[in-house]
Amino acid sequence: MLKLTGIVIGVVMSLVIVELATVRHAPVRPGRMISECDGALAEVVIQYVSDADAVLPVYREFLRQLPTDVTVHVMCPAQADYEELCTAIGETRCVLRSVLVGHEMTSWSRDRWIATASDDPNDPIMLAAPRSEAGASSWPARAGDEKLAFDLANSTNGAVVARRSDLFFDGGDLLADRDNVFVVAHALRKNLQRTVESRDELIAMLNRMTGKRVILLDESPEHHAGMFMMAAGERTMVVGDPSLAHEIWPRVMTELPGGPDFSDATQRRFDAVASQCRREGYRVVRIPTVPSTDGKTYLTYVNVITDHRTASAHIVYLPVYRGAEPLNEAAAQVWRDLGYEVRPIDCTSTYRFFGNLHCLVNVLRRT
Amino acid sequence: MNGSIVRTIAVWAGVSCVASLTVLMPKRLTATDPVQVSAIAQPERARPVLAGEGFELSVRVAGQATDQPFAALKPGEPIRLELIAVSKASETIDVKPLVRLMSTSPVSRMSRTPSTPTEVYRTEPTITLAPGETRTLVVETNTVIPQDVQVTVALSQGSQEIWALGLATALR
Repeated sequence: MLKLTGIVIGVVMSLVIVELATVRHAPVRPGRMISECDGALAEVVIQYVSDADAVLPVYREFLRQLPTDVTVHVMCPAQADYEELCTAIGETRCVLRSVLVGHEMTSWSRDRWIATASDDPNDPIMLAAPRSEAGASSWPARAGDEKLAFDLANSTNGAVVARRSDLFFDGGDLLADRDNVFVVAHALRKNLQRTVESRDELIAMLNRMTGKRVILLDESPEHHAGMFMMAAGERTMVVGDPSLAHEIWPRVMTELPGGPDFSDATQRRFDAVASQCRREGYRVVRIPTVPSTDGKTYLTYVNVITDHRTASAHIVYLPVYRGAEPLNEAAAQVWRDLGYEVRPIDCTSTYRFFGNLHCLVNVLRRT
Repeated sequence: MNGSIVRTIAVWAGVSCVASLTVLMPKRLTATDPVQVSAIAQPERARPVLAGEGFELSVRVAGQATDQPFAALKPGEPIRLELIAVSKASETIDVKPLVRLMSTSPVSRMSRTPSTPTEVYRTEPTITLAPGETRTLVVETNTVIPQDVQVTVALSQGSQEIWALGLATALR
């Protein structure tokens, strides 16, 4: 009798354990890539490593403006890095949550993963991490970046799950609005005959990964999408235009490595993006952009984070650059004309490192 | 209830719980377990192939027998490549691929991305292939790969281009 009682208790205990484990880790329903321009910011992710001084001014200005209902997951190698960031930032209204990973990493969150969410807000967010990180073989911090999607997932008690994609990409190669995902042209070159047989196969795999219709750009600047285009909702796409900046450039006192690139070849790539967006039925709004001859350093005004708090209250956190005030103002006016409240973020310290606000901040959840 | 009764029940409860869990627990314990979910479903294609009209072309480091899409080189060692051309045509054809070495230099540790690849070598050899023939052509680039520089070997024919091989001096 005593043995039987023990066996019954043991079986009941095991059933409870299995049930708890099953509930917590229910299969993830397919989701759709989170739009750049729909909904209010709820959770964002940034990365910080000690001595990355260049990103602190950007974080300081951005985080201090975020409202109380936004959670910022701060990924750092160690507690000391997190404390250094908090000291530099000062007081914020948003909630900061540290995610300590214990390995090297960079400060750029955008390219590490894309996030998809199902229609059910109770479902976990799914992160898709690229197959590998460019440069990881000889760049230890980049090798550490490969693990960050899983570090984040493991810190959230099941609210976020991560998987590794079969595809080579940077998160910044993809840009989603409500219905579509735009993918930079060179994503094909990264994958053709390496992970896929053809362009169509790549599109099909991206479609499965993002849950949205994929528009693979035929031609685009050799940079991440958020450096030359940004979705503004209602099928409106803001696309960079070097020719608009060229007119203003003589009044700009900012330096670019190698000087600005206002060549016809570069202009053609930006125009090709605009043309393809129009063919897809988008209203295209052009905005001044200055690419440099190194191909990576941009004074860009589409590298933004938008926050649609309500149907009428739209905020854009807009990169600006000291010495480029005439450009800053022209760009701000474009966003104001689109109905946005413009909140400038000084990115003078980061643009020389090939990225700005949107590159530093990844969005985990919108409501 | 004395101690021996409690002990007996506890022992049998523990044994049966462990036995039941062994049978009932799903194989995948946690959805975020890196071992489970970080695995790549599809292996990368061994030695990417440029498929043209009537031929296939691939490349590897001369003398390296493996078909991996990445290869390690010693700093200061000139890059020697082997182009492997396979005829799929029923008649003799001339293949004129463009072979380029694209170099990505180290950048500041703060940088978001590696630098824009710059072309450090190019050649456009002509390879004549009889029907069904496989030919291997050695390309002496005389190009040296410095420490921490990554090089991509790009093969193209017409508008089609593939990144056929990655080279670096320090692989993990």
